[in-house]
Amino acid sequence: MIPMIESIIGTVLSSFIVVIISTFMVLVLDFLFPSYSRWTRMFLFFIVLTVVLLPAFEHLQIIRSITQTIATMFISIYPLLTASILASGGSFSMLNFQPAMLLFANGAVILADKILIPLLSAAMLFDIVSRFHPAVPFTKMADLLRTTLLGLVSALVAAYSIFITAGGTISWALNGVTSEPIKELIRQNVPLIGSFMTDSLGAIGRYSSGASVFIGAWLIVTIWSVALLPTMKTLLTGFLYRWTAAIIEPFANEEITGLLDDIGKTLFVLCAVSFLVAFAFIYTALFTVILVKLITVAK
Amino acid sequence: MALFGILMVTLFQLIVIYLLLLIVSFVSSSLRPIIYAAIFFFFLSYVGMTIILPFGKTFMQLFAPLPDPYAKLLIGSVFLFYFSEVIVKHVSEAGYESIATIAHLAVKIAILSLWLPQISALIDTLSKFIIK
Amino acid sequence: MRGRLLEFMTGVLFITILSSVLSLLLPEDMEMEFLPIIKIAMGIWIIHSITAFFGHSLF
Repeated sequence: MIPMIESIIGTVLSSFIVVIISTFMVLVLDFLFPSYSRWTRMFLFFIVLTVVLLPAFEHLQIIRSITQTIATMFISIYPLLTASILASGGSFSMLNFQPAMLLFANGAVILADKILIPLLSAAMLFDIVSRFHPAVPFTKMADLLRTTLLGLVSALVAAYSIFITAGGTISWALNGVTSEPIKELIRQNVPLIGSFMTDSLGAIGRYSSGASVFIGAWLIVTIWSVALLPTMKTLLTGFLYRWTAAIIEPFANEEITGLLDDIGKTLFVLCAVSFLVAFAFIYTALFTVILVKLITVAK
Repeated sequence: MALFGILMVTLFQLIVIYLLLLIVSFVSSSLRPIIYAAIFFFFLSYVGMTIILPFGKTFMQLFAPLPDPYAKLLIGSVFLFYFSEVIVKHVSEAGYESIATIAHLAVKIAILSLWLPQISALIDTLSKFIIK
Repeated sequence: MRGRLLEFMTGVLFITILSSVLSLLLPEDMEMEFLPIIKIAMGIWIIHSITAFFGHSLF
């Protein structure tokens, strides 16, 4: 966990240092040659875009490829799964496993692949365009896209929570009364997606507490950490963007800080989308493991 | 200390040039524009050689940690722009403003063509967002 | 639908970069006069994309 955080901070921080240095340089140039300030502003924007966009773009790419992998995996194993569900008969009724839930979760992944992620990159591009040329703004469009995406994802997670109603045998930490302060902390401190995060974590936790009867807790922890790793990375990167924007705001161009802030916001929404994907991954993995166990026990 | 000496010398030269121009305009006002232009270019090249270019080099070293072409490009294009603007101002003072603006536009286009590889790289990165 | 969206985004991106680079070349006081042209171009592109999206063609 610690080396991962260090590597993320290393890659993102180096590009942010470049941004800060170039801001200072542009300040000096503006002082020396005031008539050139329009050009320096534009070229500073070029530098910042080429340097800063890469980490964000990489995250988008990672989530996109994960989504595609899960979607194709699901499509390929779905006939097999349904066949074995039919074969194993009623043994699933002892747990709150609904095969429909599997279909729903992976439908969400396909939705994310086909609609959510393209719309998100479109929102990012609209932000960049409207900061690049402030006379022709697209800010309303970008905001609309982001809020629509967030609403869509929240509705999907609410549907998950409705699907998973029964509690498991092992009460999981995030469900208990003791975890309320932590939930509140997350809700208050993660902008935009905080309450959504606690909801989806709760849904995932409720589900896997039911499954932990059948398979060991360590397997659940492994699947959790594998599925949530990209999400956490994205969240951390988004925070770094917003922190940098807050730090350099007093001395940098308004466009630069606004751009960093916007990219941070978009990454938060991307994080929300990747929660959907993570959930589908966890569900499918646990489902498959339990299915295999049931079949081997039956034999 | 050396820089201080150079600055002092430049200041002194400025005063000498000013006095010289005053004397020229007193002696023969028809000869004044050409002498003015000659002294202007001489002074510009002198200041550029002794102050502006060395300063540009230290400035570049100061911002060496920036990724490779950017610091050089930015500072180089700023100086190019500055020199062209100064010359344009001089020419337009003599009353040939329209010629000066054409030259200025040419310098602007030259600066942009210096930046062309960077701009195309940027467009590439941006269109990666939309082209899948 | 995806193809239309990509086309629209590419157009927006290119109009923006092109117009901002072009407006650098103009003198400062003429930039304001140039702005309506950019806006017209962007507006035509948006309206064209919307009509093309619904199956009509402006051009």
